[in-house]
Parts: sequence; structure tokens; C-alpha cells
Amino acid sequence: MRFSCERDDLYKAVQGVLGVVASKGVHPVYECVQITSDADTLTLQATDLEIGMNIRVGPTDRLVIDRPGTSVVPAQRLAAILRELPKGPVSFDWDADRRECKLQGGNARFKIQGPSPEDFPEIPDVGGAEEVAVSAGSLRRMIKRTAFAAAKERMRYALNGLLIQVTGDSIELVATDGRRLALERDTCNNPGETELRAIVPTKGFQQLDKGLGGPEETVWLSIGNNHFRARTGALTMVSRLVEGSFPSYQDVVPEACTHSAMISREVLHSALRRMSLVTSRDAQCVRLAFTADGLTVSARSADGSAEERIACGYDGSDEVLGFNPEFILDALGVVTSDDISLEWNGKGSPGKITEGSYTYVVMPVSLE
Amino acid sequence: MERVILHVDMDAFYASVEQRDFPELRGRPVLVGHDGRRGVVAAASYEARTFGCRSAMPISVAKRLCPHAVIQPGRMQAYVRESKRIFEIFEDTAPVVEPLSIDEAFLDLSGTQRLLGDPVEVARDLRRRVRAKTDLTASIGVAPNKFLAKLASDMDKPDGLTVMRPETLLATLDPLPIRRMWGVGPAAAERLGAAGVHTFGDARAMERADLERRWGRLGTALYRLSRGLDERPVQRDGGAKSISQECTFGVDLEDPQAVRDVLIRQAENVAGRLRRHSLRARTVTVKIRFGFFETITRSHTLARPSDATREIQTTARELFDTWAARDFQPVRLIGVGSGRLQEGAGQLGLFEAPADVRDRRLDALVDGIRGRFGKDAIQRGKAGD
Repeated sequence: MRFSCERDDLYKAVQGVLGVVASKGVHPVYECVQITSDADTLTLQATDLEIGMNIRVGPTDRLVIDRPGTSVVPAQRLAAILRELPKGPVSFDWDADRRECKLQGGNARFKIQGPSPEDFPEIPDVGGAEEVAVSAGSLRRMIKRTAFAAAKERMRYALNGLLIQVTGDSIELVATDGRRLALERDTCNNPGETELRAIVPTKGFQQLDKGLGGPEETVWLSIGNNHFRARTGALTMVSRLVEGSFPSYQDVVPEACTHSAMISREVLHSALRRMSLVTSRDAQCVRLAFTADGLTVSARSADGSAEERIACGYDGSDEVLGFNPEFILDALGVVTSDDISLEWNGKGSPGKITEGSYTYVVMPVSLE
Repeated sequence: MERVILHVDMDAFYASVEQRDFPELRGRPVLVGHDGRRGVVAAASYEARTFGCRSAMPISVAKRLCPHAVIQPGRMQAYVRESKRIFEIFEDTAPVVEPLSIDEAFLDLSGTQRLLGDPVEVARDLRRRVRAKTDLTASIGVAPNKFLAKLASDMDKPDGLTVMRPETLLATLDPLPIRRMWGVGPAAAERLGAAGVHTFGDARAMERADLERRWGRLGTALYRLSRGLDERPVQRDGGAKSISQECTFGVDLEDPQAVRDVLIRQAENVAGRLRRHSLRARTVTVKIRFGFFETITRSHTLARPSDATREIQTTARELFDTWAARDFQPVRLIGVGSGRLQEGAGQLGLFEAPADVRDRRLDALVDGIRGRFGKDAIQRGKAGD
């Protein structure tokens, strides 16, 4: 196999798959990226055995393929070399007998040893499942606004992934760690009226978020064979599904709320960041005291205390809520309106922040 | 800078709450405490005090002194609720508040004159507000340090305000019995008395070197406190560091199950006390003494802070069983402790497991029954069996 292309194009594709290269110690071949070419396309593929990624090196008019074939190269090493090579054309020549690749860029030449390409794992596929189309821009925004709320530690429920749900032309991503929940809805193109519902590892969506191109690009989603697949013209991501059941999240999203306050997003954001400076690690909590005159946020720990008054549109009875400031800050980081509305139903009930099709629910910290 | 410290002490707190809530008790001697063979007076109203009744006295003794006293079983929840309201007023008054107990605190007003005005006026206003909001009275001592403030609050009880003035300080201190000095317990008082030191004045008359040579660090304290000197700062966060209960047996218990029964009961009480104080524990500790006064402790850190009876019982029991399975010996003392306490229920969850909800309801039910009918009104069967 022999080809030449722009260093930037190849480097970008290697970086795209690098996140799913298996960590050291499993088997040397899993630490590699597989490079395959036919007459006019060049594709990179990697897998960590849970998620597989497949990225086309583009654009084809900057690509010259002299001899199609398949090679397997240690991924980290290839990325490191490409990073150091100067901009401009690079040429790649794989000697199958010696299992050695010669890489040249500028006046620098490298020879890298690879393992036997036959051992490279197959990436499973979804079979002939029906596909649903969504724009890359929509999908990206949905991932950005939900993935952060997924559980980072192992939990009782299957919370280490995002629930994806498609009904008719509505697509929904939901993430929760049991203390807060983020839900984003959008529309999709679903000509086959397919119903999709699965829990996909958070990492799968994060990889997708990194690898997707322009907002107008179409992403095709499907589920089959116990796997989830997202593909565009240049990229395919296949992920194993998270087993287990997702909690009945609809039950915890309050529909109508008795209390509601309008607060400037930026003002609340900076006030909460300041309050976080004096919360203790063991008990992260800020108090939000709402009165007709405004909102007082405060925090206290054994080390000190802080308090700040901010303007707020609120005309209910006096209320004091406690929240982990990080949970509120996370949401303020992904909504975009100048003013946010925080709604709740009295003591011990969750707080709700909504913006268009976006819903964020966060449980309070008890102040008693 | 001259410091200004307030010591605020509610007057016969539990008894006053009872008299306030039950008008028929007003003007009558009231004792709060468990009316049983080993019951102890938790609080005595001023009417009962005139008969010589004091807190920490066995109920049986108090009843002999004042046979017509009304004995109230005590409603901890009501006292805690009242305490919260009082401490809110404290927090509202001074920048630094150091709680000493449920009804007593130090307030540091140093450097607030320009902002808050004359400290004596602040103290008067504080008393007025406590009275207006709770219908209870407090006694306050105003002084340049904690030691003197505490002495002062006690000088005009109930419903008094005493200011320690520098010009009359020594005349006030000198005649006080040495037992009133901080750090002088009955044993030390006896030793000092034997050496002729009966009052503050006696201590002040002695050379510092002499005091220190005879009594070491206590000597240093005698020298300083007899002159009304005390540098200790008023500190926030004097809160409980642990809640525990232990029991020493008259004879060593040879049956592990008998020890386990006591342990389970103790765990239930510890969990109940955590809930009463709105605290949750991160660690559960079991203390075991056996043989020739050998004592061991075994601890476990919980996945998340808990005040649930079942969780604390199960953890304590497992700790004990692990020890008993390999090393059991007849047990002299057993105890259950909870540590790394944090206030409040903490972060609430969106999806609670049904078992947790059931446990919490059961705990609340038991707490409610005990609050109304006393601690012995209800207890669990052998949990976990």
C-alpha cells in the first residue's frame, strides 16, 4: 500500500480516532490504527472494543493513491510523528512482508514497525437497521447540553450513558447522574417512522461530538445487533449499548411549578462561582434565598462564609433553596439566553431550568 | 484591641419551654427528665430550684426535695426548634457565634461599635428580641473575654444583664469559690482547698512561679484566670464531632448475642440522635473492651452520609460480627459511634430506591412516637435477624 496526502488531512483523521484506541496492555494490535485504501479513498479505523470509529481522510483531490491495501500502525506513534512533521505533503509506504511503514514529510523519513494486520479486530455493525437523519449541528448541540450530566461513577441504574430516543420526527437525548438530569429535544428526518431507544456510552457521543463536521452535514443514526451507529459521509461511529434500564425520568421532571424566578444568567453564574470558593468539599451547598426584593446567594463552611445580593424577578413568598453550585453552573454554561428561569415546587422538590426544547432538573441539597 | 464578648445563656431552658407551652405549669416547680429509677434532671424551673433541685441531679433526689414538682418527660424536638430560632437571632446579632450547647453561646462583638453601637445596648436589644420572638428569657454577660462573660451571665439569673467592668473586676472575682474557675473540677478543688486555696483571691495572692511549681499547667491557669485574663478566641463551628453511646457491663458478657442485642439498641439510639440534630454520619465505629481492659475500635466509612437506623445498625453489627467471628472474648464494654458528621440531609436524589424510602418513613414514624411517648415507647425487634 502506498499513498501521499497533506500532513494536515492525515493528522486530523488520526486525531479523530485516537480517542478510541485501546489503552496499553490489552494487545499491541489494539493500540494501532488500521489504514485502508481502495482506488480513491483512504480510511482510518480504531476501536477500544466498546466503541469503533472509522474516519475517511479527505478531501480526495488532495490524495494520491499509488497502491491500494491495508496496514496497521501504532496509533500514538503515528500521531506523534505527524504532529512534528512540517505542513505539506507526506508519503506513506507500507511493506507488508516486513510489516514496516515508511513515512516521509519534508526531508524527514521514518520507519515504523507494525503488528500483523490480520489480527486487527472487526468492528461490529448494526446490520440492515433503518436509519434516522439529523443535522450535525442539532446533534452536537444536544450532546453538549446533556452529556455533562451523565454519571461519572458506577451507579445502580444504567446512568453511565445517554438515553437516545426517537419517536416520529422527534429525537431526544437524556442524561442523569441521579442528582440532576438534562434533556434536549430536536426534530429529525425519520422517513421509515422508526422507533429508537437505547443507552449509548457517554464516550461514544463525546467522540462523535469531536469528529462531526459542519452543522449542515447529515448524521444517520441507527440501532441494531445491540449496537448504535452514527455515520456521515466521512465518519462512522459504532458503539456497544449500555445494558440495564434507564430510570423513568419523565416522572421526575415537574410539569407545572408553583414558584418561578427570572435571573440574569451571567450575574448568577459569576455569583455562584464566587460562592463556590467557600463551600467545603464534603458538603457542597449554596443557599438561594428568594424574597420580593431579590435573591441572596450565600455559602458557608468551617473556613468562612460569603454572601451576595443579586437582582431577580420573583413575586412569590419568601423561599430558601440549597443547591450544589456545580450543578447549577453546569446548566448555566450550556443555556444561552440572557435571563434564565428557575422554577420549583417548594421545599425538597427539584429545581427546573428550561430553555426552548431544553430541560434541566436538579435536586436540592437539604438545608435541614 | 479591647475585645467585647457576650455570653448568652437561656434561663432554665427546657423547663421554661414547658412552662411557656403548658400554661398550667407556670409558677409551679417543674422538672424535665425521665421519671424512672435512674432518671436524671435535665432542667429545673426556678420554682424547683428554690427547693434545691438542680440539673444533673437524680430525679429521685429531686422528688424528695420537692415532692409536689411536676415532672415533664421532655420534648427534644420542641427544644431543638426553639434553639434554632434563638441561634438565628444570635447569628443576626454578631459576626462570630460560638455555640456551647443547645441554649448557650458566645458572641464576639469586638470591633463592631461603630457599626452596631454600644455593646451593652446590643445585648439589651438581643434580650428583647429573644423575648419577643420566643417568649423565653435569657441572661447575658458582657466582658472582655469568654471566661469573664460566662461568669457574668451567671451573676444575675434569670433574665439578667451583667457587665464586667475593669474597675470592679478584682473585687468581683476575689470572693468567688475556686470551684467556679474553668478547669477546676471537684478533685482539683479538693487538692487546692487542702493547700489553702479556696477562692479566686487566694490564688491571686500567690506568686506565679509558686502556682506553676505546685500545679503545672493548672497553676498557670490559676494565675491568669484569678486576674480575669483569658485570650481564647470565639470560634465558629463548635459543633459535634461525633455522636456515640457506650455501655459498661457489671459482669463481662460471655454470649455474643447478648452483646449484639445491646449494640443494635445503641445503633438505633445513635441514629435517632443523628436525626434529632439533623446530622448525618460518614463513619460508623464500634468500640469493644474485653479481657484485662483491652479496648479496640473498628470503623467503616459509608458510601454516603447516613442517619438511617437500618444502615447504622447493619454496619455496626457487621463490624462487631467480623471481630467476634475470629477474636471473641467476654465483653466488658460495647459502644457505637458515628463520626465525620455533616449537617442536613445533603444532596437529595432524583430516583430513590423504594427500600430507602421505606426505611426513612419507618425512622420518621419511630421518631414521632418516641417524641410523643418517650424513648421506651417503641423499639425495633432484633433488626437484621
